[in-house]
Amino acid sequence: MSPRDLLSISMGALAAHRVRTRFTVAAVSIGVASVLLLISLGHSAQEYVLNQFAGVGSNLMFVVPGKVETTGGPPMASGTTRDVTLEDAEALLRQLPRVHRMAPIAVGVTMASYEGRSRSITVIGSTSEFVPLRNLKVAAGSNLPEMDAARAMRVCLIGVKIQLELFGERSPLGEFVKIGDEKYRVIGLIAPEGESMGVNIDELVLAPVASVLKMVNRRGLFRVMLQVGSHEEVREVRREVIRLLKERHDEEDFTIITQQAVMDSLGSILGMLTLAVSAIAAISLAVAGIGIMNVMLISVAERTAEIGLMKAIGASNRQVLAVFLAEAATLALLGGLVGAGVGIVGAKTVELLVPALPMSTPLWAIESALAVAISIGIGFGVLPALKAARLTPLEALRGRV
Amino acid sequence: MIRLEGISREFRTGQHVVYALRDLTLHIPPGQFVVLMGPSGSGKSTLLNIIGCLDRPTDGRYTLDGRDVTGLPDKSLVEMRRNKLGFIFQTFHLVPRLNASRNVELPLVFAGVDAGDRRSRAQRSLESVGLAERVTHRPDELSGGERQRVAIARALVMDPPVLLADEPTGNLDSASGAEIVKLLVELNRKGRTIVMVTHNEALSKLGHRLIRLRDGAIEQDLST
Repeated sequence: MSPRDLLSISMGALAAHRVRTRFTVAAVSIGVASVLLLISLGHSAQEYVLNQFAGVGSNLMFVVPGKVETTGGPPMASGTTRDVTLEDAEALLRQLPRVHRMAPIAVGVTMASYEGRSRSITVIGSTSEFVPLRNLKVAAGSNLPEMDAARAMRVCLIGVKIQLELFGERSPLGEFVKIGDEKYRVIGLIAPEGESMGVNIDELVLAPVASVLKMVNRRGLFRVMLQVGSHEEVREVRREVIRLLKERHDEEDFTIITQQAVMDSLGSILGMLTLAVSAIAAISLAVAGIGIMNVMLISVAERTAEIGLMKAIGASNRQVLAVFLAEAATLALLGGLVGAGVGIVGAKTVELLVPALPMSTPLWAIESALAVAISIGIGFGVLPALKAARLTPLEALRGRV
Repeated sequence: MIRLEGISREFRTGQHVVYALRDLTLHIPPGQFVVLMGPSGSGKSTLLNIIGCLDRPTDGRYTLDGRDVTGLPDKSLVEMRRNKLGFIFQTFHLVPRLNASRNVELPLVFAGVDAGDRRSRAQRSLESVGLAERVTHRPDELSGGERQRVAIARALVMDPPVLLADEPTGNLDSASGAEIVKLLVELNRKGRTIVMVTHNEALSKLGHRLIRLRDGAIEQDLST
């Protein structure tokens, strides 16, 4: 018996009981659609969050003073650790050929004022490398000059919001703004970027690292940002960085955070969440499976005579089993297809209603939803089909219709 | 063709044991038309089921077309039903959702014959029972006599040497019944062995041989 014959026999049997078939298909499709919808939702949330990080690239790593045992979070401030200095940062770039770029970062919070207007700002001290490493753009004027990082030049770049609040409509380029106790010349404007990794770029002031260190009166950097050639090298470069800094510090009193590790742990948390929610939705699939079993049991009972006939005219037990399993699987597959359609349309509807959440239904989810539906059909179809196959032809023919 | 030796069949229902057949011996040579009669409960249906490899005897030996089928596994019994036997039932047992041609094709489907071949063989079989014009009709669009002829076409489509008919005219009016009987006689004349169970005394002289059963044993075995 070819698969085509099986399909045609089962479709025929299902078409003979349209109402029953429709209800069962509906039950399966509700299960499949809800699983798909929830997977899409989880998947999109994951994508959304990871995209927030992707702006910073997966080939980045950060050296942070202080030691923590776990990865993924910033280390707790610890008073006894030694600073990671500008010299350390420069040694990393100089001595490790696979570190392509480096930006030291110092941070200070202070007041900025211009012609009587003032506001509190976060000033980041770094080098010209900061802008490309953070994927920022200079909208007007120029980047920080390429110079010895130890030089405390009093120039700065400002975000668009700072510009608006301190200068209004006027061009800030060339103007002097007072930051802390010193006057800085504004040499550039950072293109609007909004919130990125918890920092509002538009409210940022960027100045040379040595100037900011002097301003906050510290030697230690907030962190050092390193870029390697590709994210495959991250793991090895990480080891090299640890070795080199340990040499310089005599102990491992710093932490290396790789972008990959942050993304991985975040991704896995969201993945677990999606899985858990989908598992709850899968309960409805199991209920649908019981529906299939019920319908198939009715079908076997109604068609006892037909089963007897099949056997009398030369169907083997295995063929009878196949006929009923195929019927259950077809029922489930129809439900799966309808459910997949409803799920995808549902996801698109959510996307229309909540534009901030771009929903995508991953292909693997559709494929596995269909596979699960068919296996449920076969799984719950086994009992009725076995019942049919085990009928002796004699008993079966006596159940005359 | 059919050789039954010392066949017994008992049914157990709880504490009771019912003997449907007791130590029955019967030889049917090829080409013979046997009419099987007897009151209900005499064992004629059980006998037909055993001959048809639908049931197994509790005791005795059964040889069909030279092959001892007594101890054969289910799978081989399926082969015997497929190739040696054609069944005709009182209630036709057509699949209501399939048209005449599809019903006739069913045995070929299970035997693994490919679709193109099936169509033409079903067509030929339907022609041989005079239903060439009714190929695409479904059972509910056919008269009783036509339905039984579709069933006969189905029984013939695998070209088996033996036809087993269980009250083939029981559900038909006399005119349709007469047509079916004519058809069976004709098929026998072309060489098929036929065993027909009936209650209808008018049909008792139809074949070569009349066997009357009572209480699971042969009461009378007449050449007619």
